[in-house]
Amino acid sequence: MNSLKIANLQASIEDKSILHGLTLEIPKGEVHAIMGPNGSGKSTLAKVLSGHPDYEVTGGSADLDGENLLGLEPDEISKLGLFLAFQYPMEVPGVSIANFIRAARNSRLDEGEKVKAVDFYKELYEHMDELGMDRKFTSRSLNDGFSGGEKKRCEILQMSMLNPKYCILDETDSGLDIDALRIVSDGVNRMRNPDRGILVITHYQRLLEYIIPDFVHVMVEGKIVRTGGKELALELEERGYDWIKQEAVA
Amino acid sequence: MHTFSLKKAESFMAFAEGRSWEPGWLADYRKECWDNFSKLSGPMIKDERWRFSPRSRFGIDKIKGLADPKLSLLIEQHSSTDGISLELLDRLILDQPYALSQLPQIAGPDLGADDYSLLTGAFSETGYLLRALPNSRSDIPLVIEHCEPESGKIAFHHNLIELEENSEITLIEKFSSPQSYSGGTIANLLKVNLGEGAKLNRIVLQECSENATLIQMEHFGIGKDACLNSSNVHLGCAQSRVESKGVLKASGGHFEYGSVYLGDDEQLFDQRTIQVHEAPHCTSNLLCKNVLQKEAKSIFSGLIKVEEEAQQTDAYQTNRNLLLSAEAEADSLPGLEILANEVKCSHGATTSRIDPQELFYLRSRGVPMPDAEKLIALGFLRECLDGITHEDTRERAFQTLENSFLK
Amino acid sequence: MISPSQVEVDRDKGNFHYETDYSFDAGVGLSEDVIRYISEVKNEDPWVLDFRLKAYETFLKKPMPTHWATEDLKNIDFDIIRYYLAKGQQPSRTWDEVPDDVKNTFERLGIPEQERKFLAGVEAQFDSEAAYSRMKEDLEKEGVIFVGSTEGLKEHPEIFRKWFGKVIPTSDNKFSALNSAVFSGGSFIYIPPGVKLAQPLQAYFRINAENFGQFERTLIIADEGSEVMYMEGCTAPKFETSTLHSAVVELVALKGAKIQYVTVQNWSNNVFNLVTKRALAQEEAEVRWIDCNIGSRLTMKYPGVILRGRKARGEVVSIALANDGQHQDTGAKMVHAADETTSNVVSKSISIGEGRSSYRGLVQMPGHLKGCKNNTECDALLINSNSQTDTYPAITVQGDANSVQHEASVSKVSAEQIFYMQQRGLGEAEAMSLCVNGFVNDLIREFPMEYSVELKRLIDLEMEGSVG
Repeated sequence: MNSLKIANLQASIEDKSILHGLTLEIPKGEVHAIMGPNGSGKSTLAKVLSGHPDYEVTGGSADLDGENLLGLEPDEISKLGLFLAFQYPMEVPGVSIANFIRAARNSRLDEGEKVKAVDFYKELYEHMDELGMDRKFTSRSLNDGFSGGEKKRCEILQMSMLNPKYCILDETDSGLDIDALRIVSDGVNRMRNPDRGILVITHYQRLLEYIIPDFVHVMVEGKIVRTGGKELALELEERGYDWIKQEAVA
Repeated sequence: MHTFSLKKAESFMAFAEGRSWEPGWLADYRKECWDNFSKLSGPMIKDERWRFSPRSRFGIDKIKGLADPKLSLLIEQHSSTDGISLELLDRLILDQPYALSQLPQIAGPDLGADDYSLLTGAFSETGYLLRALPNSRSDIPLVIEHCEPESGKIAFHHNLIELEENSEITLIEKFSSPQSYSGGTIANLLKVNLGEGAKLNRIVLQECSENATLIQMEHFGIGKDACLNSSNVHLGCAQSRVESKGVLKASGGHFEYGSVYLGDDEQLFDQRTIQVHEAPHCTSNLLCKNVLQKEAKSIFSGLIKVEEEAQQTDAYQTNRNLLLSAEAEADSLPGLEILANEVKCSHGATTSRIDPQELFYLRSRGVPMPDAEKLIALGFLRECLDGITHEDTRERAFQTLENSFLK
Repeated sequence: MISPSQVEVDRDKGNFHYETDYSFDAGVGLSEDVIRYISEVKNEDPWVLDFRLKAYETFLKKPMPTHWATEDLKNIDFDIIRYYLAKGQQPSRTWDEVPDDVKNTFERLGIPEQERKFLAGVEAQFDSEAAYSRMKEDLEKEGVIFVGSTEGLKEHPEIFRKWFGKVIPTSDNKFSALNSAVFSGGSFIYIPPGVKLAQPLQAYFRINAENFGQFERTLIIADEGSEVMYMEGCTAPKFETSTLHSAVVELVALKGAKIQYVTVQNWSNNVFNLVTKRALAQEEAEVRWIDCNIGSRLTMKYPGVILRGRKARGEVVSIALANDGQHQDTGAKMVHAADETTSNVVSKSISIGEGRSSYRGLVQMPGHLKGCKNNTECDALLINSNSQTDTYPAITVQGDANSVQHEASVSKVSAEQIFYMQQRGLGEAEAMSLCVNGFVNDLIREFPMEYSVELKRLIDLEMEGSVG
């Protein structure tokens, strides 16, 4: 019950099949990493679990603490406790970060209830301080004109404010310099606890030096083809993906 | 003996009688055009398509006769490639009249000059027909020359370009004046059909005399994955009206249109454009720049029209005017009509003088004031000529511009 | 007392209707007699009647502007409209004196409450005449005049007659001529030199009767160095047949004066709202039109500023929201007529469903002027695939000493933006609302606080059901 459980998941976009029976279980308290070459379907997995309307699920199951995710609206999935940190966070002009996060927090309360402004800002500022974000950021438009690093920090800020049960970080390291990477990783590491499962999707081993995973999975052509400990990431870094692709075919 | 007038029925009858050797369908077509012209109710005062235009300057009353078709249109550079033919209508009418059977289907751009478009149908004795068979490509630019007729006369040119699949042509159209001529009129009606994947690079260099009148009516039909690139340099004419319509009829089409105008004295440049997106996944880009000196006046009226079906459209339209004197005037009417929502469309229009900071910078390096102005103005216009892919032609166009400015 | 059966209620705040008896009724249709009746009831001076009758002639002569405007104008039937309906010509000075049916209407619309909270003066017009008009006493002592058009022309001709019909000539367009013939109600305001009103004045326009035409006339004169903010709101119940609202609003900002004119237009979707609004700005004066159009079937409104004095400034800030069956045809006119004048236009429109929004602009800068500047930005947001937007600016610049810049763009709310927000737990409609509010957010801030809250709520309401 206490896991994000994906079994034999198959999905396609515009009749092109991307996930071909993917199975993976992330229990609470663990950090899992998925690595894989470009085009292996890593980002598709993140989007399908979040209920992106462009993807069609053609088979299999995905359950969050026993609740079926497939077929739910993206906001319903979010409210069940799944958070996706986007590879490319969308820019939404005119909508301030503070108002947006508040709207998201309010959506988790009963109808008519609202978070108190004072409590909200206190909490928001605490998290921003931890992430080294200027408080002026709260009034800036969501991701609008942000640098790559600012966008990723903003994702982590939302993650910490929404207190999800499971987090998926989709290529969070892309576009980050070493300092930003450290700050973002620290933010994720602070979120590690026995009541939360984390899935890190990445192409490079670099991020996993900062966020040490309990398990590493290798994804090729829409399937998990190998699972190992954190040392598997190092092996991939050294040998590339080709040998694993060949093994997968063989 | 009556005096010739485009408005008089007897003038048209006399003209038609003189061409009794033409095929019957052509005679019928001329008659139909003339009848429709005579039914026009005269210029409506509130015709939005003529907003800001001193329309009387394009009046047909001043026209006293028809130009000699043999002198008003010349082919300077023929095609030497198999599958590509460029010929004049006055010869085709005699030799292979069936080749002209499409002529009656040539519709004008319908942007205001209905009178001239119908009169062209009725009175045109020449024009050119450019055709390319599938996959044919011309290595050298083909060159056409339109010549201003003598004072008080009008030359009607009725032209058709048909490019079939994957053919590609570069065409230069020159508008010029024989030295002794001044005060003639050219009405030029052009229909272009581009088949799938076809590409036309068209360059217009207009250097007519300072008293000439030009009415240019262009209608470009752009097929699937076809590309039309039209670059226009307008320098001469007392008054010119340019109507250009680009219609993107099937997906993947691209319409690129650039024009520069350099106006002096009391010159008038009246330009009307429309980019019509009928099909999805097409792009269009239009950039019109005008530099105005003395009492010159320009009107730019442009519309991007995106039909409901034309999702995934990218369309842009820009008009920039640089005014160099206190009496110069620029009117700008940039329009958008958008009926599809998955589109990227924008337009911009600016009118200003030369940035004094820029001017100061050049002068601080020792460039005298008038030269500095000219340099900056030329730099301002140059961008529009970058669309000319044929390098020699691009340099030639720029040279023409430079010469005209420095004269 | 009002029995519940007499009240028709809908989710729309303004969509309710109390049965009302009128003591004065000019009947149906327009004729010289109707105009004479209006003038007589109002006990007007002869010159006003002359003005009206001449305007009527002009109205008859002028064609409908369908050569550039929408054909929908042809659906206005001038013969079935009622041109004057009133309970009386004298507005009450306290809400207690206002007849119950009328008072209840304005209570429901929250006007007395707003007055208590933040307004310096209120006029509440019910069909043809103001039912209530009151201004804070201290302002009266400072010489501020805030009265209806009839009273203004009668009691203060030395102030108002000079400018009446001068900023907008009767013959400006067919509807300004119509208004000039049958005008009734509206506000006549005079702010003496140097007086700066800390709180806004407000007018509220209510159409109550079916087939009624409301033709208020407003003239605001801000004398040298004075400042005023005027706000107007409007509503009407949704009747089966269409209704006409055609106002003329003239503003005069004398040297160094500042006028802000705020409109939140929320007519029901069967109102033809054809309004002429123009200001004259003298030396160093500043006029801002802050305009939001949410309601009506067809709105045609292009607030203008004639920049007559050196360094005068004109501004139009405009939000338009067009839903199914609506056409918001709005814009701005900036006529530069003195050196160093500047104008600024920011227009944002949102088209939902089959709604259509159009921007029409006019900028004129003659060649004898120096140092004039205009900047115009138009952005359109299209929500559904069948939404429509048009932009038709007309810019004329002469001379090498002025500059104009116009930019327009069209965009949509992307599916990816919506997905991103849903991933954080927001419902689809809520996400869409947030995006739309974000799109106009910078302009909403230009409205007074009390209005901006209301505006956001209205936009949320309009967005309901626009997705999916």
